[in-house]
Amino acid sequence: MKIPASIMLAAMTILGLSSRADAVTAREIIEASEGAVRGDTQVSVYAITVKARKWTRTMELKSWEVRSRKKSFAEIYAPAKDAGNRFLLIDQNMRHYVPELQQDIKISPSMMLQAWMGSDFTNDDIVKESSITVDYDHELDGTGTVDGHECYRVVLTPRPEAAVVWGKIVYFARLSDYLPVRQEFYNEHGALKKTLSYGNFAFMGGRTIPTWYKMQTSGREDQYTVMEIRDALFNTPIPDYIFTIQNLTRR
Amino acid sequence: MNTKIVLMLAWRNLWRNRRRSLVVISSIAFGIFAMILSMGLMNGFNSQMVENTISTSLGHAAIHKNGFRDSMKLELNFAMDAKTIKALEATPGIRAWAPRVKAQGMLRSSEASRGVMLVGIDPEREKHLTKVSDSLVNDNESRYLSGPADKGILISKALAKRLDLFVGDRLVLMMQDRKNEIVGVGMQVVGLFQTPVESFDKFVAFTGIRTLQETAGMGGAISEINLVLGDRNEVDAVKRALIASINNPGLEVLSWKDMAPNLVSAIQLFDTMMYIFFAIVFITVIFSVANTLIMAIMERFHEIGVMKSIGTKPSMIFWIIMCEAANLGLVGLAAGTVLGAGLTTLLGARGIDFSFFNESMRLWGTGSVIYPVIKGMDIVAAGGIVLATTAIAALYPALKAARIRPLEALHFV
Amino acid sequence: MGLITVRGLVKNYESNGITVRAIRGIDLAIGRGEFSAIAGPSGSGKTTLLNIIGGLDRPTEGRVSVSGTDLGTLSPRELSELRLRRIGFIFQAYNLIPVLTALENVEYVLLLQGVDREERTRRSMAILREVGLEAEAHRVPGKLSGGQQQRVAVGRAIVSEPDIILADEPTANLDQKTGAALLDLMHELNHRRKTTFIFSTHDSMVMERAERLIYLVDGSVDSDRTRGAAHFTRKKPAAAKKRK
Repeated sequence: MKIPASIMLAAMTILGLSSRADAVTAREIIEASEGAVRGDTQVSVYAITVKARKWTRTMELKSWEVRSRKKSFAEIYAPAKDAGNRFLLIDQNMRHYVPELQQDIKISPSMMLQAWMGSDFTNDDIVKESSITVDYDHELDGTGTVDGHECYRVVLTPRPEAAVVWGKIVYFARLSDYLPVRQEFYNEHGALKKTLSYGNFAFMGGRTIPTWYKMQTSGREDQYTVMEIRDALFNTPIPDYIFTIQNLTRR
Repeated sequence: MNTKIVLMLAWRNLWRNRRRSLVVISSIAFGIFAMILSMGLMNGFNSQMVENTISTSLGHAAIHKNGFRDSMKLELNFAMDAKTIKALEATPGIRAWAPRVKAQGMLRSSEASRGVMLVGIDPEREKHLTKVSDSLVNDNESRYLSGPADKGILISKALAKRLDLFVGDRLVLMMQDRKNEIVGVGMQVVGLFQTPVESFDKFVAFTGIRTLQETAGMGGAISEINLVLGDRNEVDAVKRALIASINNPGLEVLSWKDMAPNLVSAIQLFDTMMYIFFAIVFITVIFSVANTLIMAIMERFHEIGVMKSIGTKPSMIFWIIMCEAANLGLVGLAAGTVLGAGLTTLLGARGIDFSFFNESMRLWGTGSVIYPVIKGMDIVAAGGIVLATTAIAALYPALKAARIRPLEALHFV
Repeated sequence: MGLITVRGLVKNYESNGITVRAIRGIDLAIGRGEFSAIAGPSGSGKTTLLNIIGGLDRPTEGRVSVSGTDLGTLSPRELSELRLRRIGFIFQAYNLIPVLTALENVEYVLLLQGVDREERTRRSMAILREVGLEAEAHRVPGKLSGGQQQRVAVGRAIVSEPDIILADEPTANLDQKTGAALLDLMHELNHRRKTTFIFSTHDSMVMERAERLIYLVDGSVDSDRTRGAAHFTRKKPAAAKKRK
């Protein structure tokens, strides 16, 4: 498996700082893992499947993101009834273009807190940077095999002042390339509430990434959300016009 | 002089058929009794509903920036200046007041998210205002907020259940700050409360006022000054006085009636139900009295004929019958009022426990024990109505009796 | 001219769609102080005649005058006044108001006339004495015998000192002895006060005691006999019996 150069670089830098070359810290693992699946800029094509108890829905979309400038743009291509819906996010402001109305609406911050198109993710989840590195303390707790991969097992405990709801997150990252395999979210009383699984590791856009994500709520096995990455490009330059209102509202 | 004989005859005639008279009197008495009791119950119900809502959170009146009540937007805040404080202290009738910050937000836990109204309070002042501190669940863990800067959060038992949270757990509050950006802050649940008003519990949470001000980036501004009066019924007068003395068109002063028109509507609804109930009672009384009188007259047909033959005027016959009805009514009224008022007062002291209807009671926010309240006007109204009904019921029989032709009556052997 | 004058009296009434001719032409004059009986078989019209004389009923044809006043000219209210002050009534039954005592029953008429309390009680007690029921003054009719009740009725009829007393079968519910005693009482009052007594009756005991007997058959006078004289209005050979 080819390890992306950026990852290699990051890992080596981290390793270089550590006195013991073979002892990777929990923190480093997490940082590496998170870094592996995101880029400074990213263009991706996704299929998101939401399965609820009585219905299943799959949407295909394409997104563009420039992380440092807090800009992202997404457009839905399928199914036909949802096609043409576009989302433009700049800083914390999201605008949603509805093709039937031929109008864009500003999604108020309070609406951000609602579920994104019926999925298990909130608008905010989609938008916000993961706080996993900042809000938690990390502790390496050995290794284990998950879904056939040998992984580090890192236990994350929230910092006292952190704005997080989890009591604990158990993070599994592959030994070989630190790619995430699974995250288990526990409440403060030790009950497993949600599981985020990663799979279908493939080479895309110059790096190996998991191309299959599944968010599952415990106790409701018939309801979950799956995200598949069909294609991805990392760190390619993205023209500015993508993140404009004109682009949002073009016919 | 004639009046005396009319009254005497009317009274004595009542007891000719003791059983029948008692039946009618009982039915009138029961009707009054039922009316007084149910009015007492309604009064208690309404009063408690209002009182609970007020004491839980609404207060008797509130001062906001104009338009705040309708939109509840954080940016509609104001600073509590000396002029306002002076106005508050100068207006008579205000028992206590407290500043609050109110913001819409979302509480997230590992289990779920819920939209709530966050209320930032000054816990000490709030104690004189509403009953939140009294509503804390008695579980040896819940505690009240310690001061205006307390960073903990108080949520209701119902909300805690929904979010699967226990005392000591952390939740995340997400809200918009003053710049309309979303902020998230972790807060610890320090206590659970349960008020008699279910609709309140589901959607409100409390924290220190400064905590909320900081999170929202508001500085020292507040959303609301809430106040409580010595006498709830003075609220309109106090409202007017305050508006005058604060003299700030940017601020709105609202009474509890303005803020909870649904309460006023609910009260009106109950009143309407009462009227319907009364109408039913009246119809019963009318038929009961009319029937009795008609029977009595039938029985006395010949006697009335004789009376008219020897010179009794038709009008006198009319009044005798009317007075008989009045007597029935008055005796029934007296009995019913004594019983009704007596029982209602007794229950008013002890309260009626409706806890087997607990869920519904929490819906109305009355608390599960209702204390019936008698209002003098109610008794007067009930009595007046019964007497009027009795009189109406007696009209037809009395007229019939007065019009009896002696000749027909005499042949009616 | 008598106290009561009846001329050409006809009375018809409807009953079940049939016209009943209760009185088919009667001429009559009754004087002051008479003690007379109107007798006849059932349906002969005697009660109807009495009622008309008393102003309780109106004639279909003809004229009735009492003390010179044509009853036909009086309104119902005026007739009621007349009955109150000038005519006393005694009926077969239900004469008294059951919830009033004997004394109160007698007082009743005086009360209607507006007599003040003291005089009322005085006169009523006096009357009760006269009819021999002083001791029962405070009893209600329910506690009096039939005869006693009728005597109270007489007392009530007479207390207002009317010109005429009309009695419709007053002895019908009484036994012979009591009825006779009642008649005697009335006769005594009639002598003492010169009040005109007119009875309607089919009781032979009453007929025996009457001073004048007006016998009706089928709505007309069949015989009209005063004691001590024979007087026929219609030639009916063996119909009227001479009585002494």
